[in-house]
Amino acid sequence: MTWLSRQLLRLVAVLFAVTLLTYFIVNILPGDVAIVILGNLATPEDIAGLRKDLGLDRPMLVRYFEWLGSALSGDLGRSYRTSEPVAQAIIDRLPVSLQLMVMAQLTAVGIAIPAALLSVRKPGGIFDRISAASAFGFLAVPSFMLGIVLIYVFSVRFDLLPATGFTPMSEGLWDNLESMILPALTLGLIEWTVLMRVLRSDLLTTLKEDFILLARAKGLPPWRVLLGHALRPSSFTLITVLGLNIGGLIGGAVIVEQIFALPGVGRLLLGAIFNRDLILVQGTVTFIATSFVVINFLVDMLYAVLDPRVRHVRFRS
Amino acid sequence: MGVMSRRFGLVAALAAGLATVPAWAQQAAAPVKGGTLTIGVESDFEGFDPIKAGVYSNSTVTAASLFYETLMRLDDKGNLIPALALSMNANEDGTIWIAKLRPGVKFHDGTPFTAQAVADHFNRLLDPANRYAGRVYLAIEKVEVQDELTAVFKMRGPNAALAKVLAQPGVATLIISVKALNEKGADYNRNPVGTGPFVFKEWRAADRLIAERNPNYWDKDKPYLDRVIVRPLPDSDARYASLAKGDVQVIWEDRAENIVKAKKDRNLNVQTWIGSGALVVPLNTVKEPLNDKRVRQAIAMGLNRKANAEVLSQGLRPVFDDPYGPSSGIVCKDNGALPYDPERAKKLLADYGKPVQLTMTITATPRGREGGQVFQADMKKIGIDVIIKPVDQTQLVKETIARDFQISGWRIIDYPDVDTQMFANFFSKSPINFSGYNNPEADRLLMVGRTNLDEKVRFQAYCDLVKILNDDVVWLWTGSNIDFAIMRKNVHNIPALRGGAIQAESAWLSK
Repeated sequence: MTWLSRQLLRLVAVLFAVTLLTYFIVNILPGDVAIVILGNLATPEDIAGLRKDLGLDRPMLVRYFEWLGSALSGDLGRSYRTSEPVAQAIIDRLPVSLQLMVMAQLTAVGIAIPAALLSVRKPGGIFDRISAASAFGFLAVPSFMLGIVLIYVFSVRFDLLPATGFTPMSEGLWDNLESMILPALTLGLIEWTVLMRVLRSDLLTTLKEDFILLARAKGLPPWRVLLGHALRPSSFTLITVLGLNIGGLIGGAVIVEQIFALPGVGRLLLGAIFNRDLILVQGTVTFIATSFVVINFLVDMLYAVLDPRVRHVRFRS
Repeated sequence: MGVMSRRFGLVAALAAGLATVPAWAQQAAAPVKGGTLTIGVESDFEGFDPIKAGVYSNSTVTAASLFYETLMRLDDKGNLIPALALSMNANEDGTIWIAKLRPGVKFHDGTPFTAQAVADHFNRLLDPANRYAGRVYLAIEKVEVQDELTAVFKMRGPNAALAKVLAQPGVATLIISVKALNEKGADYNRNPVGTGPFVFKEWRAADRLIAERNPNYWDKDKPYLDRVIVRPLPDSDARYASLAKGDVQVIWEDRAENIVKAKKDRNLNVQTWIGSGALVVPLNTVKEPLNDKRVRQAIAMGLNRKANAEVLSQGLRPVFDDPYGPSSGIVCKDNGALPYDPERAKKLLADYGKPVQLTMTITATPRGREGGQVFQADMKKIGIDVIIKPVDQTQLVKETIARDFQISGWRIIDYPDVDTQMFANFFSKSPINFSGYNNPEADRLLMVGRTNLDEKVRFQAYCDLVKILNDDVVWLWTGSNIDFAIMRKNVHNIPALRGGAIQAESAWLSK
């Protein structure tokens, strides 16, 4: 069996496990979509009737396999609460989460790589110590707090950027970017820290390798040694962490979307959970899990691009 | 009726109680036409088909009242004024109400607004097959068409309150176009058609709802605004920051810190509304040990309601000794409330003779926990051990309705007439009489309140009723229903925040 087919099999197994587990967990949660829809005043008869209409009175496994059958044919069903097609709801929210993810990761990488490179030029030096201290500082700040602080500084105090809300690209590129800067910065300022620390650590290891000594012995300037020789082989862990971050953010950054009132996938899922909108939860989680697994699969592929040895081992087996 | 979790933390102590009329409103010049008003609310909208939505949050009422209207309206003092109906009058015994409709009104799709449209709207809600949960509280049997502009409400029994009950914007009272609904099918929920001052334009889920001026509105001078945008901004601090920045011009707010801050901000005005109803703590009078009146009275006398409300709301939320609230118009000379007296409470418990341990079901939210903790601390002082059981809100509703609780957290919502809620909560045969309360005299007084058309007689019945309820300690009234809107100085003429909704029909913006 090739590496690729093993990966695909794994993808199927993971998705099956995730969807079944989600179905199970959401079903044992206390609360009921019928009560959410009918309200506090509903009679037990009405609640039972609506549960029947929604098919919620049947055994869980039966419902799960029905859902699975439809999902495999591309139909994720309609929200119990709003009748909106689940796939449409996800498609509507996805651009917001994707843009947030891309901008946040660009911010994080944009800070992490220069900071790591400058840190390893003189380990234990003043820049290294400052960057380590600020990294731990940002890591310790919860995103809801950082978000509010950024809003107060950049929106309320200096009136530079909108405090909340999303402007679609169709209404102007700058307006769109403006609405995403603070949310992306909130995520990026927290996520650069781990990226920087792992890259720094890998760079330090790489810099002790023979080929680096050789490069130095050839008289190459330090920045060329760092950028041209050390950075690429030191990026494995960075890419792995980045993959996990991206996979996580495809499902939306719930807290940041909530604070900045962005209509992303995270808020869709949060609302669905609160409303016990099982079918919407199921569809969204399935989508997120698929994206997560696919992205990590792509990251695995990227290793092969970065390191010929990986390519060699994988495609021989 | 809602659970106490949502707004367990606010508001301004107003001795008289009704909406404050700020100086800026009194001095307001002639309304200026034009402009866009952006309103920040707490949550996204359930949708605009009342059956699908089931219940409208105050955020949804804020949006829905842009394009839907009620038959009559209430002014800020609670008087009925004509809207879609020119008048609503009852027959001698209140078993029939007749609504005379305004001629020449059209739905946004051009269809004339007629008695048939009114009948279609209400009869759809009343049809048991549609499972609109609030139908039992509407007290309407059916609505018939007498002629094109006369709708006849046949009541299930004598009813004194219908015109007022139908005047507050809500999921049942805001009239939709059933014809448009039938044509649009499932899409209607996201594309509403009404008669209101603004026409629905666009709803970007979780982001914004846009409504534009209805050029054919029956009140030719209104609306003043060209466009209204309603934005769900779930985070309270970010909502406040959006207002401070000017991204939105009005917000609904319940966080005491933000309200106190806004009152000190020269760029902002705070509008306050103390409605009817109350935050309440229902006691299950059927289960031991709460089936013993001495234990219930001990709880009432051991609970320092006023100090607790002060702490929880930074002094903003007043506490009353009845569940009526100032906007109900009911003023009782003697409400029979038991005083805060921990020593007497201890004596009652000693008389009861057994150790008392209780479980309080609360919502698993910061507000729910705060409420539970102050209750627990007060009870500890008189020797009652309270276990706090935090659950999800829907679970709390489920357990409370099923009477599977000892003490719970609840809310009697802000309604223009107290009959609907009092009858539902305390009438012995009501399906949501959670406390299992059964008192023939209370039932009699509730029937007087429901059926007697003389307001004085009704109000006296409610005062007599609250004396009984306070003595029997069925529910504890822990705070008033209070709502706040914070707005920038150039926003004018937002009416009383009934039910927490911000209505823009008569609002305008100065330059």
